[in-house]
Amino acid sequence: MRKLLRADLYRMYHNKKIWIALLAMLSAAGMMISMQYSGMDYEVPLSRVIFLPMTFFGLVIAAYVGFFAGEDFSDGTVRNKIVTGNRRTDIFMSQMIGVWSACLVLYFLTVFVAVSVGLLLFEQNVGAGEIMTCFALGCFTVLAMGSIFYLISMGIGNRSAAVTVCMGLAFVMLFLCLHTNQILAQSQYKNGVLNPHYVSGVKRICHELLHDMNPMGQIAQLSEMKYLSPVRWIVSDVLWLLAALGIGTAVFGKKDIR
Amino acid sequence: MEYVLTTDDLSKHYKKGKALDGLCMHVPKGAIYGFVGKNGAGKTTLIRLICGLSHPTSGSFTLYGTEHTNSDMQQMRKRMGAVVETPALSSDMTAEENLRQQYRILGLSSFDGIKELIALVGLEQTGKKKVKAFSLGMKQRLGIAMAMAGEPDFLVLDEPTNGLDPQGIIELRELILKLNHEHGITFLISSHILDELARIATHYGIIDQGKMVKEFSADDLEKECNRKLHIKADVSDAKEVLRILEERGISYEIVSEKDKKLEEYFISLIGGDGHA
Repeated sequence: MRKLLRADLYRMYHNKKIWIALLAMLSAAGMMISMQYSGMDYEVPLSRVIFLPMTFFGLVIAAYVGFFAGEDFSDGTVRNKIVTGNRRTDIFMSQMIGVWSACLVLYFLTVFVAVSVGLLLFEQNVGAGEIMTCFALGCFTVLAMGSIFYLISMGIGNRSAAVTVCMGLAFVMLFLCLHTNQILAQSQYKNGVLNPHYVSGVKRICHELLHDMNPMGQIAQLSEMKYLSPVRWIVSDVLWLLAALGIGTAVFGKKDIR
Repeated sequence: MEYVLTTDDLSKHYKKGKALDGLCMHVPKGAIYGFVGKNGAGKTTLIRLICGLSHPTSGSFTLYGTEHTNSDMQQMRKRMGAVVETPALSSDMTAEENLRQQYRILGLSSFDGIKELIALVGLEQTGKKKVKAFSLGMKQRLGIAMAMAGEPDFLVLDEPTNGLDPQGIIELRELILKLNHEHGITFLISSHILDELARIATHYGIIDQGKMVKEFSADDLEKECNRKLHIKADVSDAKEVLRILEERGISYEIVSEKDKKLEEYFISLIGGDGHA
């Protein structure tokens, strides 16, 4: 599998799409930081800036993975790997690892730029430990996201369709996240009276679960450096990863390659 | 006879119908096997099965004597190269980068031989030109170079002359003959251009509706399609002419000069509908 990984990583970093994705993320970071710096009439805390650009990550990575993985099928280069006697599990895994590496590189560089600039411009209200904890949680999120989009791209096996479906799913996840976030953000009391929009009990647990299981919901939490349950967050992401690996290897193992 | 590839009752069914229906085939070692059939006869389906791109519904095939269900099949596939339908190339890379990528996939430790491969298929002038700017013929030649990476001893070419100009077809023909004669590479070539195939093939397999109609060698074809002479004689005494022909054991039933070739033989085997 090492040779396949070498080939996939070469193709990934030789291809300009990864640099376009990075540029998109850094532009988003620049835009978000400048808006926070110039648009507020009070000193914005650093905690609100570091992970804020990650709100764009889902859309960017959906497009990138759709292009990168879909291209292997559209160009037919995945056939070269099969014809030359490589096991399908190895082919799937090496591409998955390639996607993970792209997700982590984009995530790390975006956060690194945001922290570097943020330290100079914003109120330093968070410690290194807190940043590292959130960064670690974010690693699980981006890996889960990459896995989901890769699974879809592989299943579709066509670049244009893969990009369209991945972007569509990213928007669905985003709207779902906005919905759950809006419900969970309601305070129990408003102006001293019970807020009728506040949900509690089983309904609240379900919404929290939905928010935590949705990688976009996790990013919404990450952008404020607040989280409902880190354990549930990690377990959700690990389940996404395992599901993508299990379903992916089974589907790819039987798939007719065009 | 030693066979590189054999198929036994091989079938592939799709929802729309049977692409292969109990196909039996034998590709001898060292042969240039011409695989002939109409559009949709099942040629590409068979090639896709032996390349591992899809799985048979039933039946089996062997590569170098190894059953397709055997775990060693992956190792056997390392000994073959293939161009299936369109060449599989990364459009954002140059010819050399594509070959380097193929070397990486094959796990080859050095990139030695890439320049020679590029020269062999006549793409040494392409330099830094990306594959997306290549003509179809150039892509086809690069596809063949990719298939030849790792020095396989069995090459599968699906319609290799597609998109090639006449000069390219001649060069490809010479390349195939050279590789076959000098390096002993066995070829399985599917082609619509029967006249072109007849110039190089040592063996033939004719497929129709997913079934093997007939397998035969070039020698068999020669015997079957031997030259016959039609004499249209304007003679005063036809009986005398016939007597002389009979005396010499020469058939006189033939009424036209006929040079029956692979194309006619193919039509006679599968019928005249459609196009090869």
